[in-house]
Amino acid sequence: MFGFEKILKSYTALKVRFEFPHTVKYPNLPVRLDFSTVIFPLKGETFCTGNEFLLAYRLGCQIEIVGGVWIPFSSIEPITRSSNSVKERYVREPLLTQIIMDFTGELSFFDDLKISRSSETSNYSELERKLNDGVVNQTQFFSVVEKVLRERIKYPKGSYMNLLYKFIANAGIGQMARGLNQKTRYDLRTNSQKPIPTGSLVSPLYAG
Amino acid sequence: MFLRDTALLSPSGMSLKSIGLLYPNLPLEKIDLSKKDIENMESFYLENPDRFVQYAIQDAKIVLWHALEVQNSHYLFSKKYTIPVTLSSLASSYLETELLPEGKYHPPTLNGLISMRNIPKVLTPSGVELSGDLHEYIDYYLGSYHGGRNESYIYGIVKGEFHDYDLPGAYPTAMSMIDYPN
Repeated sequence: MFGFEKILKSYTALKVRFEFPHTVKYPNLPVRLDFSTVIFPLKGETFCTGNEFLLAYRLGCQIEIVGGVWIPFSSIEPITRSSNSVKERYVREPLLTQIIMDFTGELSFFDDLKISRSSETSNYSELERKLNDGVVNQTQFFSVVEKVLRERIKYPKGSYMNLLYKFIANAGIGQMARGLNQKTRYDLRTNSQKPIPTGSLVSPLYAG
Repeated sequence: MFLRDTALLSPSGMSLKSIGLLYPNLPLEKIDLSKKDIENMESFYLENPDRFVQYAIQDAKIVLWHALEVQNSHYLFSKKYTIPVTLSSLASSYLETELLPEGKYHPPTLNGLISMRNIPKVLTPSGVELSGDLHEYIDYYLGSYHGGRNESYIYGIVKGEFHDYDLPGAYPTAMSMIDYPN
């Protein structure tokens, strides 16, 4: 069986039959009932992502994999930071804190940033040390998000450019999923509902 | 003539008042009118023509300034000196500039004819034949896309303490953790 890391750092999509223990209060695998309703039952059959599979597995779910696809991430090269000036920005942003708080232990996304969940202060100091050492693993997507957030804080809070960069950071995922569902919208020219077209960034890989 | 809707071009709220607040250092605050005046603009005009004109011009100033700002930012991101229809398309322009030039974002199939973004083409007779293995596994990725989960475990009037959890920066956090497919 694949290890957690191998699934976490990949685009994995599975068709599964599953059954959670009755002690699980909030099962995490989504099942479609119809075109507009998604439920999270204790037992069922569905398609899920690798991350959803991992969480279900940790909840003690019995899972039978009916079929699936696994595409690994391209290699993550460590990037050496030449300047320590970025340190303060990193530490202030909620972005990295969130990543570290959420991915600890065996689910750690950044292998070298295994940090105690118990103390936020230790998160900061450990991160600070890693940044001082000059090596943080990051992806191209990480660099883009980082750049957007860095641009954002150049402008006063609540100003157009500040909120525009926030909007861009939030819009990325949406653009990756744009048009996938074939949802419709009103078209003024034809006075009818037309499917929302896919954009240049759409990809079912990233959207899921 | 090009028509634009300011509600689709605002990163804050949809109202003109919220757009005016994006520029706190400029005299672009929307003039507030009473409910009575808003509901009957004709009588407002007859009773107070100067203030009516002031109100109308201020609205136009807010729209004009914001349109120019949007146009400038569109040029900044995409070198197109136009006003986009939505702010989403502006965001898309920015992200295209950042993510697409390397050519790794949309990995082509083995024969290079159809990539992940051509989903409607994949599910056609020629698409199935020309898309390499793509048609075999695209179903799994499409099926596993369910959108976000948002739940409320209590309903109605609540007496006592309750907790509201929200993930700050959830979307950019998720985006920062993915990578190009191999």
